[in-house]
Amino acid sequence: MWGMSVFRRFGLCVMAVGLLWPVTAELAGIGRLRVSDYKPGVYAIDQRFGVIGFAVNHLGLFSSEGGFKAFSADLVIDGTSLERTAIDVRIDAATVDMAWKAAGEMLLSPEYFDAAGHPRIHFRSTDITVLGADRYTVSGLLDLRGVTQPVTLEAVLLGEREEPGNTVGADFLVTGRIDRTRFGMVADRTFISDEVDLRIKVRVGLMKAARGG
Amino acid sequence: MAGSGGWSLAQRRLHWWTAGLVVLGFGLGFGMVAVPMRALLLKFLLYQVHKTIGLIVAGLVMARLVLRHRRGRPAGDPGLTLAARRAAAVGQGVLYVLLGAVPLLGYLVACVAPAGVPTLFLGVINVPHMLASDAARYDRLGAAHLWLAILLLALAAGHAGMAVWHHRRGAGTLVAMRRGAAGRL
Repeated sequence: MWGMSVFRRFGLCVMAVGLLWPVTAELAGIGRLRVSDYKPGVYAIDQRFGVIGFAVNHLGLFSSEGGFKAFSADLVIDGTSLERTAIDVRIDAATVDMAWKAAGEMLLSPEYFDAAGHPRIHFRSTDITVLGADRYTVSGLLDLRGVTQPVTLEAVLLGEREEPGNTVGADFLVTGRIDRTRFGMVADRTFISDEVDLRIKVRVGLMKAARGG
Repeated sequence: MAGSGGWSLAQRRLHWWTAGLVVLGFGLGFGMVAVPMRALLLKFLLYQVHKTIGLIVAGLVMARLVLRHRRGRPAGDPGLTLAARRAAAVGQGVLYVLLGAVPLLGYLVACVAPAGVPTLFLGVINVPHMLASDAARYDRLGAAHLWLAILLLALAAGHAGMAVWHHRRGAGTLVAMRRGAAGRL
């Protein structure tokens, strides 16, 4: 072991830190969202600072991005553990939008989001797992086009900032990938990939819990 | 520069290839827009063919200008009045300007298109887009591209009509462009 080169020892140190980082970070409380710091309750996610976006690939040549203009979401904090936190998101399917207006209108049709037949897209979490410092897995059920399927997303806490009114604004980036065909969205599979990448940015205003009372 | 001989083989071929591709590109332009969004793959392919044609036309026009500069053009038809010869020269000049401007505008439209679809020359060579997507510019440039293309086709039709009209009156212009005989304009 001690006969190792400096480079190899350095490499092993980096590996060890990388493997143990989630544990050490949790023990040290580095960057970790502690739900006990906040009042239990239902927090509405501020849509003004939120973006629900998606991207699909075309023939492996390029991708198109879109999003939803209107959604509402709640974060329910239990106050005892992060794992018991629940997320509920409702999206207005009719607000789907793309830079290419004709494509956005196409997505409203029955072959895609079927905004007239199924005006609401709904996600509710079933399980949240802490992956490490600032990283979480959010499992849940997505109801799209009247079809409910389990999906798993990864959330990253981008930062927390003090805000007026004894609150803290927490910014999250949530990413994931779903297979649109599992929801019966099978139109134009030669040109539009089955896989849809999700990219969601949200901000939650969390009320600080009273201390030492 | 006016030469004493007729159009060279290269000049004649470039002329007819340009004419054919302009007509084809014009028709495709309307066709690709008319294809419904349900047939996205077909729509995408037609757009790529249209873009490829535009790039080829731009290249052909440059080649024609180089050849014309180096080799010149046949002397004008002495049977025409000075005013008619000048009108023909102005018409050809405008045609050249439009042959360059319409593909250039088409390229700019592709650059700023909100859809962000790449330009694939011959379906495989990715032509870099020099401008970012911009919906407002897309609308303006798209309208300019369309109306200049219509003007180009109208002028080309007038150019062809005049060539046929002179041909029926016994002038050798059309024959010179078809077969390479010593031409008169």
